[in-house]
Amino acid sequence: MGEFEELTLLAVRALGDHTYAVPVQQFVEEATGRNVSIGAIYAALSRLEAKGFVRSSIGEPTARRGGKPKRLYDVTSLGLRTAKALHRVRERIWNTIAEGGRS
Amino acid sequence: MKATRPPGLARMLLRLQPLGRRRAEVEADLGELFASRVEARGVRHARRRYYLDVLSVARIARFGFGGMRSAPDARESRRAFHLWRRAAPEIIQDLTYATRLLRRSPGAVTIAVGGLGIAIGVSASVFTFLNAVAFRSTGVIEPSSVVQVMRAYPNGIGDAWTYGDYVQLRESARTIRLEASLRDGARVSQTADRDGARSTSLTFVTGGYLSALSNRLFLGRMLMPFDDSPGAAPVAVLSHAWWSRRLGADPAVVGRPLWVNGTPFTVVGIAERGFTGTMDTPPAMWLPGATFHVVSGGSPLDRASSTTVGVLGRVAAGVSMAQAEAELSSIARQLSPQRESSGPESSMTRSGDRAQAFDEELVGVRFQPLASLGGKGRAQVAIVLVTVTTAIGLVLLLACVNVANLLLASAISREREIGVRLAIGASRGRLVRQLLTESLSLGLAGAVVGLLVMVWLVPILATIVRAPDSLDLAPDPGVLLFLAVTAILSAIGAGLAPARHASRGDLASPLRGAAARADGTGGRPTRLRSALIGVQAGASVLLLIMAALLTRGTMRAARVEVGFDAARLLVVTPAFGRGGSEAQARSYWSAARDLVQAVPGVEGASLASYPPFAGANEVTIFRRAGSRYTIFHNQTDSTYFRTIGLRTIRGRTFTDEEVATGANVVVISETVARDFFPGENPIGQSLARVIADSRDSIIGVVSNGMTARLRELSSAAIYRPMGELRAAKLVIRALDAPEPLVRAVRGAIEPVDPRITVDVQSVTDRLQREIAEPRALALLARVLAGIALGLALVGIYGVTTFVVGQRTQEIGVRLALGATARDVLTLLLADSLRPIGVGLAAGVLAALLTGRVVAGLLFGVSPVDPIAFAGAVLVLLGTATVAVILPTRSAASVNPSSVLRQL
Repeated sequence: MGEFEELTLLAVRALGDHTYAVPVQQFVEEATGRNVSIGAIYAALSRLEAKGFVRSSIGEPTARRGGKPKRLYDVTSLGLRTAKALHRVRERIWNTIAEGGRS
Repeated sequence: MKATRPPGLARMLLRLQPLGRRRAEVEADLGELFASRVEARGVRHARRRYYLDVLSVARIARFGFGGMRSAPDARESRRAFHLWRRAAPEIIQDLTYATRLLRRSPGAVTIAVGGLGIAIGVSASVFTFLNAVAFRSTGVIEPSSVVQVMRAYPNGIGDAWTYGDYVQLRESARTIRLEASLRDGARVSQTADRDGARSTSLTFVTGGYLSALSNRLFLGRMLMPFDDSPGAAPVAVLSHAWWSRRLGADPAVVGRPLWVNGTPFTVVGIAERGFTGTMDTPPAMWLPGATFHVVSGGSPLDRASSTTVGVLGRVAAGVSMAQAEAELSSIARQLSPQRESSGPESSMTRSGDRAQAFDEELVGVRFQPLASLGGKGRAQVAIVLVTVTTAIGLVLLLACVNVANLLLASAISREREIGVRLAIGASRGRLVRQLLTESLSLGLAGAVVGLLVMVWLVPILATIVRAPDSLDLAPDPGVLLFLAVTAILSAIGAGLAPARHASRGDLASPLRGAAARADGTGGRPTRLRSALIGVQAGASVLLLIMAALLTRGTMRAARVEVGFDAARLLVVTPAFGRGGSEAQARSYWSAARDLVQAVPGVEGASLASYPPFAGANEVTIFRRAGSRYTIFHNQTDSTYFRTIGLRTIRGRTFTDEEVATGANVVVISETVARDFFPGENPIGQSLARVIADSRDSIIGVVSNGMTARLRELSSAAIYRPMGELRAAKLVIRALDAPEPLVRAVRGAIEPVDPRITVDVQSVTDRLQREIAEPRALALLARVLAGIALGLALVGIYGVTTFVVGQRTQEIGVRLALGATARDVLTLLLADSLRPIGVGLAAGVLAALLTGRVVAGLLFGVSPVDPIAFAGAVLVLLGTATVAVILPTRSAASVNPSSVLRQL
């Protein structure tokens, strides 16, 4: 899982279940402080889905979007475990750094 | 407040993406993002981001939406970018290296670039002609349905119809649209005022003629049917070539008048470039047929007109050629028979066939493809050009390849350097790239030189092949493309051999030094080099012989005895045009002659149909004892012989009465008397012995004079009393130099009939023009021969150096075993000169064969002139010997012990 995919996965998780591409894009942009294109989000979501980390479903059309549907994403348990594992790896490394490194 | 929408262009781009099932979702997402950004950061920001988003979607959409395959995409483009980042400095490096290298040997580079440039220039010049004559489109739309309508007789076909016949055909034809044209000459001014009129070819056409052939114009409008009605304002459409060449391509001429034989014609259009109408070459302009009698005199073109025209047809859509031909044939057979014994076209010899043709029974109509769509004339010109000039171009190209080869392979001795580079890790591809960069730089420089050569050469070639004024020879994209392709190909060709050599070389031997290379692997290239040397020697000797022949010819022409005093003669040619009547000409001349004779400084003035050097239409060929015999026919008045200075040898010349009545008497030249009446007195005899069926009797013999064309060596001539004055020109003998008289003569003669403009020229001018062509050709041949000789010298020198260098070891061994330096020198000379000898022999043989081609330009120098041949062979042998001896001598003086130590 690449860095950008990880960020996207975490964004989906942070935004709660049944989120879609637009809030994810806004979240990632805000969190990283750099411009993120919607295409990159689509690509990352598709790859995450192919790896089984997220799953998508077509949501109900809403009036706000002119009656057009949206694709809703949920993080799968596999995705969550993988993200947590990644996080733990990083945490261990940071802890090592904080203790002054390995002697 | 109006809702802000995403930019339309971006939305359109989005619609073009292959989004499939996800289209609605993506569009909604993007719209939502846009709306929220407008709120947060303003419209400008939102729009910009929208564009970027659309592009980002486009990028992933191409690889299956959001699929895994978008990753290699990015990697690929990154790789291409890195490749370029790595290659760019290399290319710049190669270029810098190439220029530095080329600057190091300026002499060799000058020769290589010059040679390459000349070869490219010559080839491109030839192509310019081919392009203008054969390749360029004629601008005729749907040429397959356009035909020339011919008359068919029991034994032949002809292209001339009377205008009356044409009108009848046109009115009855249903399956084909017919238009008529007739070509004529007139004097046309080149400015809106009447000054500077020149003789120009023009075509009178019916109103629908131009639009039947083409639907496009360069500028302005076509001639229309209403222009071709009696009383319409006189208008003209100019050909692009004439407009460019004579009027400097000035678009402002449209709407302005030009004076044609004294009548103002408003220019309404310029034809498309390359449009020639029904002919091979375009006229200066197309004028409405209704103005024919105004310009050329005579009767107007109408139902009763017997003026002859060419008829063009465009077959209607859905009608077959055979149907149209059948319909026209049946109409033509019902045409009232014409009697055309004294029509406007009847001049002395040629009219015979035509008048006869009109008497013959018309059996129908035949269609022929248009001359301008690849007729016989074009093919012939193309053949001459191809055979003569491409030969030269190819030979030069070969020579240049050789020079470039030498330049790259040995002159700048590279092998060691290449070996070093290979040894320290350069890839072979990298080396080849560098060598090709070098030769392409040479090619680029060669192309620039070639362009200059072409600019210089094309007008000279135009003089040589007598290209008509209206032939469009300005370089067009096709010519430039040809030039570029030739340059690139010859550069690559020149660079290929050394590049291949480099890419195959082994690492060790170049580093070990020159002596180590002599292991016999050089056998095949050496033989190839010998063959190239032979070809070069042959081509040079061929060009040298041509140059020598032509130079001797022009030198002789400058001294040629024309048989009369040409220096003090002027010729006055009036532009009567085709429509002028005989009576009109008669009254014109009787007035004009007296007026001219009254001009101070004029000694005498006489009429003749062919004054000195005024063309050769009068040539007639007879067969006498199975061989060709050419006699010039001329018609003169009683004083002509005295005026131009031909002596009466026997008998007498014409009396005024004989001229007035057109008596059956002739005067012959000395040559005719000698050839047909050897040892007899021809006076009082019948001309029948010379021309069968002739009823004329010979009354006098005059001295020989070359009055027709300088290059025709025969001075056989028959003079008849001046019959038709419409074809007459006035010859004036001045008391002193004739040039100052030109103005006075023009001033005296023009008031006789202001509609008829006159051309006054000195015979010396005409003579100069007669010599101009061979002189230009001689210059060209000398230049080419000089270049070829220089190239041969360089090539032979270089190759000999290379070959002898490879044999250093062998020479050392020979010397050590007891051979003298003299023996070695003889051996090396013999080996090197052998291929040159073979090439020389081939070149001489080729010269013997091609001599006939230029025989007509040699003014009495034989095409197998021994002096020219011997001179050329000696010059080449001398040059070749020098080129061979220099490197050979230094090789023969090698120290055997130092060579043997290297073994």
